[in-house]
Amino acid sequence: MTLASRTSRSSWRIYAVALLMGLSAAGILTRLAILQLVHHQDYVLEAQGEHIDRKALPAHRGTILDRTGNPLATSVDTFDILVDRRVWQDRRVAEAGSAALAALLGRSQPDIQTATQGTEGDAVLARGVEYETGRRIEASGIAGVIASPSSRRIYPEGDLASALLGFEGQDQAGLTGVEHDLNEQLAGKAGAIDFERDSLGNPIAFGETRSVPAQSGSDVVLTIDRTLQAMAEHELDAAIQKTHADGGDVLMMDPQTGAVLAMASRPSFQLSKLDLNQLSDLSTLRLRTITDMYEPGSVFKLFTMAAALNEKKVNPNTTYVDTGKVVVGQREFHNWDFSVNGRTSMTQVLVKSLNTGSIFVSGVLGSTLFYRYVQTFGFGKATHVDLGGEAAGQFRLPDDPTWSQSDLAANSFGQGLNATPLQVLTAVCSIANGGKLMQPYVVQEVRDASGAHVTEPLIVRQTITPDTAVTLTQMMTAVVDSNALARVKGYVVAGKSGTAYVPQAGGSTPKNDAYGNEVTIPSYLGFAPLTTPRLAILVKLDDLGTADLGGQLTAPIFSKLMHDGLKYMHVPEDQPSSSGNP
Amino acid sequence: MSVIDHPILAPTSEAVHSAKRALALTATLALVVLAILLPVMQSSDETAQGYRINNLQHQRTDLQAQIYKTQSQIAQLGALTRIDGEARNRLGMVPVTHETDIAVSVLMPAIRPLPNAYMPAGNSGSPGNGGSVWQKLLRLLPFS
Repeated sequence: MTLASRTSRSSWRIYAVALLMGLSAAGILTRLAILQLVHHQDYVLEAQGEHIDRKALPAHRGTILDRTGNPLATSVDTFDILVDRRVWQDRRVAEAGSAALAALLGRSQPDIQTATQGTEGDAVLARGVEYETGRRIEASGIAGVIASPSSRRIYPEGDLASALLGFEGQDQAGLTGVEHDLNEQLAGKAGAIDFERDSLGNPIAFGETRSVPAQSGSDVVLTIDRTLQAMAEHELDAAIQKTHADGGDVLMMDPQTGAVLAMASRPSFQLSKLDLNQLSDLSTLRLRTITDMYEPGSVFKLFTMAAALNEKKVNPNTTYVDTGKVVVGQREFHNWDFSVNGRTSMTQVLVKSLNTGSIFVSGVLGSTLFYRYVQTFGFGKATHVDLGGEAAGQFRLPDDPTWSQSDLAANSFGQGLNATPLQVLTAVCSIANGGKLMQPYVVQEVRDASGAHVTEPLIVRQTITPDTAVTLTQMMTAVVDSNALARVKGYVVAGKSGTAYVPQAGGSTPKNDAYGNEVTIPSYLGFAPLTTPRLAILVKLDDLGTADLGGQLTAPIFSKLMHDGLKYMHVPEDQPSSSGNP
Repeated sequence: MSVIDHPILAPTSEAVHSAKRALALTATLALVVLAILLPVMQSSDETAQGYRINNLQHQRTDLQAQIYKTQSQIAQLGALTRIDGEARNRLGMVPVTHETDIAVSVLMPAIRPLPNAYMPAGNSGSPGNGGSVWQKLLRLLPFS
């Protein structure tokens, strides 16, 4: 074999090896290109998942304050202590961890071990742990223990305005009341920190960090005054205990603006002892002054009279003959006390609360005008107060096939229709302020980083003329003057009592209690002082087993609240302090 | 005879070159070491700063938590039930049983205005718009 042939034979081997190596290199380069270019993003994300960790920054929940700036609900930072069960699968780790936690949490070791039994997931050991304790646990570095930042709601005024304030759940989201209705403003926005972590999960100090700061929730200022609210709740509780009523409501409003100054309802729940796992009666959670409807009874005569006065169909001295009985259609109506009063003026119709008188007035008005005014005063529609769950109220109109003339008669004195306490008092406030129907509101102000957003009073519509309002107010003062229990020392007060009989389910006959007494819903409402009313109050008791004759039960409560409320508000007296209840 | 011509003392060109090379090498090594040490020192300083910032952030969080807790304690101290309890139990106060209303026909005294120095800026009574002779003189000074 010559050198040339040996060389040519060996050179193809070299080419073959070179080709093989070239193909290998090409394969490696291709694979590299696929990894680096095609799957680049996938691997970046996977690496980030390994190297980057995220820590949520909870936002501080806003405070709810009363109109005087006193906190009704505020939050403090706490920790929730959780245990990673997979880490505590190791007995020694679990022993050491539970011993250390027992000392820090003040619980027994067996108790902690029982609470963390299981193999998967995180066990919640304690919620709402004090901040300092949580930080000590966090700093102790106990294996498998997670101290998760959270918060706890504090109610400095205890159970005051429980139903109105509401409460939040374990995730700090509002569930009822203002906490729920204004949750978006109160909750703020949680932030987060994305940080590079080491193999133990600790942040690398000079590593890549991206943070979005948490935005604290806004503070909410209510129109509620805590002192007036406390007065309302105290008097309501005392009245319910004394009369054995099933419940009741007290509502206080500023008639000039529609601001709700106090809103108390019973039965209710206690914020300080709330345990959702043990809650047997969910009905105690609702705010009855806006969710529950009732038949207003004789207070509705005010609106019947307002309509007739405004239409100049009657004046305070217009008279009719009261025979004690009126038959309308198939039904017979009597005065509440079965009295026969002969020739009676419109003022006396209100003073003596005569059903026959209001039927006379509604007859003079006619159904069209009557129901137009009922709707003008806001009945049958929600007031759109800034709270959820409001009921609209109900009544039949003439175009309803089930309506009859006897409905007009019954409606004229507040039976056969229903409304919420807030609707009733809002309508009465329009009599107090010259005929302006104000939209009631509970949220006065929302304060956030950009400033304070103040709610302005809103006039919904004019219900009656200012002259009619003044005339009707004078008639209402005569009502108060006739009932010593309703008078307020030092102030001229306009008021009206009401007693509605609770109908049996499905029927029109009154319901009786276990003793055979007719069950009633007595109420008293009014406003003072006369010239520029500053306070309007409604007091109502539910399902009383006795008729509240002429407001004997509710009038004194109204009188006391009106006196104490006006004094608290430093409203000057407008009449010599010679008569009236202190 | 110059030193440079001395057969023992006169340095050879080779020695000079060698010395220069050693010097250059030393300088280069020193620069290299410095170049290596500088980022190490910088990152060490960054790390220390990072830990300080971390600690300060923790301190800020702790202080903020303390502020919220103090605010809630203040609110609880001012609660109506607590005030009522203190008034009744500690001070022995009782609810009013008799009220006396006194009507006064004298006008309320005029509200005394605050001294100008305490008025908010922009008010007509603000220091910039009035004040005593001495205040006016003080305002003329460059550092006032």
